[in-house]
Amino acid sequence: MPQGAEIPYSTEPPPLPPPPEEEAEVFKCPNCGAPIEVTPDSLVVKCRYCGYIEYRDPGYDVFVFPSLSREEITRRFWDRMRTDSDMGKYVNKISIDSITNIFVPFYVVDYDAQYFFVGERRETRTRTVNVSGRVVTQTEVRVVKVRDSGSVSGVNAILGRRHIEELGVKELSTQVKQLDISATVHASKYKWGKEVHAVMGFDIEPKEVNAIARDVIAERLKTWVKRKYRLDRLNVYLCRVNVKNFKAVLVPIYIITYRFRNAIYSIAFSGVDGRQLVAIEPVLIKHLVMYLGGAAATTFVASLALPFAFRWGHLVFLSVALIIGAGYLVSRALGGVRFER
Amino acid sequence: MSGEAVLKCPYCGSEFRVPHTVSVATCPYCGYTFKISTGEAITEHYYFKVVFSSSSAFDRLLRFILRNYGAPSDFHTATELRKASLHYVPIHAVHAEATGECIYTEGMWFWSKSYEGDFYEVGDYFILANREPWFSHIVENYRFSLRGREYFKPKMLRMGRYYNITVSKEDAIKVASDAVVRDLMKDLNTGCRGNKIVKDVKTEYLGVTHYPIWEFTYRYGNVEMKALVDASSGRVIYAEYPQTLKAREEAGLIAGTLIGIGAAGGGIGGLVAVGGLMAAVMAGVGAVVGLIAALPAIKRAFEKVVKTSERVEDWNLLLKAGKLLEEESIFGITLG
Repeated sequence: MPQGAEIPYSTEPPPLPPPPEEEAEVFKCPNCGAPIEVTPDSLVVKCRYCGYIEYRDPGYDVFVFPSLSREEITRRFWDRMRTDSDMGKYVNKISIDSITNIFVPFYVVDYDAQYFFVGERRETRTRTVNVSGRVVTQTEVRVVKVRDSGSVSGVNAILGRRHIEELGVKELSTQVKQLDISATVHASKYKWGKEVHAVMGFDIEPKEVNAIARDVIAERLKTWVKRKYRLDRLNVYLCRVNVKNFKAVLVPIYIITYRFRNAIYSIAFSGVDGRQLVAIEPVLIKHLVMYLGGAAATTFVASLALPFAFRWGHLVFLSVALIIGAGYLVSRALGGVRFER
Repeated sequence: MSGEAVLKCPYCGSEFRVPHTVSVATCPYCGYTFKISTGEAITEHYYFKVVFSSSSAFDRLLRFILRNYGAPSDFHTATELRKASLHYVPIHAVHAEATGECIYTEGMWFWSKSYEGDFYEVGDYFILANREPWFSHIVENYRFSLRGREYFKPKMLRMGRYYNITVSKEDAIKVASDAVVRDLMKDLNTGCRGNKIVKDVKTEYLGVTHYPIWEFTYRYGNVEMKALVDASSGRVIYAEYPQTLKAREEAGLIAGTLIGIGAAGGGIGGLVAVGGLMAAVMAGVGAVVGLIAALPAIKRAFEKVVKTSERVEDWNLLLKAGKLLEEESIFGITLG
């Protein structure tokens, strides 16, 4: 039996005592005097009665990328639909279900890092030799030790909230790194639009940024080092990350959910420049033909190549890769939606 | 009632019952949340507001299902809602940091050289504080919506099925501590072939959050199915839908065609490359290739009820490649 059912909700409760002190802090709207509830994530609070919006200083500087208006994003949505090669001819069958505008908190981190590594790379050499009149392929593998050091600098964006997943946020974090930070406005001076749904506060505090950046950047740099030097293994990888400075910024995102043939699909737009971050779109007949045609062609080539692997062993890898590709295309065809960036 | 304890709320004095398994209780009258062993208040107690009512969440669910392959086109009109329950599932949040060291020595005796360096792992771990709901395994790794939390309020106890905390704060911290060490070791194993030492582990308890989830039971034709919808964002966490016979036949046809194409490719390749009887064997191998490629379609052909969920991220192979390229550009800025 579920636990909740054990609690006697149905019995007549005694009169409620005043709420415990740690409950919601309530303050009065400076405009109309109505009570406004403050939540742990309240960076900007909105009066439910008069719509007055107030910024609550978290104790550190927060900057905002000015957001395009809802009208502008709606216009861009329709422009995008009209000009889209897939959805263009279905514009009349599309209707907007909801538009959500959220300000997402990020820390934009300016860093430099020094790395040193000792690693190993396997180098394979293939040659064909003539053995008693028969052509034989010989493969020689040798392990090469590689060591190097260097320094790297750049900008990274760290999401200011924990355990979050929302359409477009990953793509937005990529965009944030490329944005001109000087275009931001201090949050206390920003004119918040009435259409703002939520302005998410930071639940990762500035004091945590150094440790997170150190971990994230060192790990990414490790992947980069392995790829750059084509390493198969790292014997030792040392990395020192120095966070030069960071800024807490709020970046607007719009998520538009639309209806098409009774089903719902969504598109996330950057509120900064109206760029499409990601779109979840229907799989139309032409996509089905494309995916399944691709799967058929890939399967044919994979199975055609396999008998030749007796002569050229490497073709096995090509076949396996093609089989995986074909399976992937089949699952795309039956997936119902496409992700478009 | 057996298996239950009668508790007195240290804040308002009301008496209420909780199962013996509960380590942290919430008074159903005033909302005071406290440790049963000490009466100490849990101040870091939050919840997410219900933004999607049962009707709007159910409508969203139906329209989400409609976009899936093989869903009946009348699913949104012909489906009957049998039951809607709101669950408030508690989740502990723990921040954990671990520091490790790598000591790698090259060469031997006088010619040896040693390298030492620190590794860091930082993470937030979210642990289900009650595993009683049948869908625990589904929501275990589910991430929150981008709508804000609120401080816990007594009124939410009456809004749905409220789950008490059965996994204690200490157990959650232990889980997070083990997890951060595991993650640190993963980093060390991929970046150090020398001695690996875990030097330090720090944890900070961030609180418990009750997260609202709609559970729907619905019927289409004779089939009864279940779904879970995030009541904060409307996202479909888990859903079941019946696949039309036509869709299953089509999936079967796709599978059959791919197997045939595989056999043809293998046969032709066999004839050219090896010839003779081996060509027939290679046609068989080609059919197996087609069968492997067709596995997603074969699965669909046999599924009467499909299980699905709403993803906000793609598992696209091309995207993964794109991400690697992106990493290249991140670090390709100033190489000294």
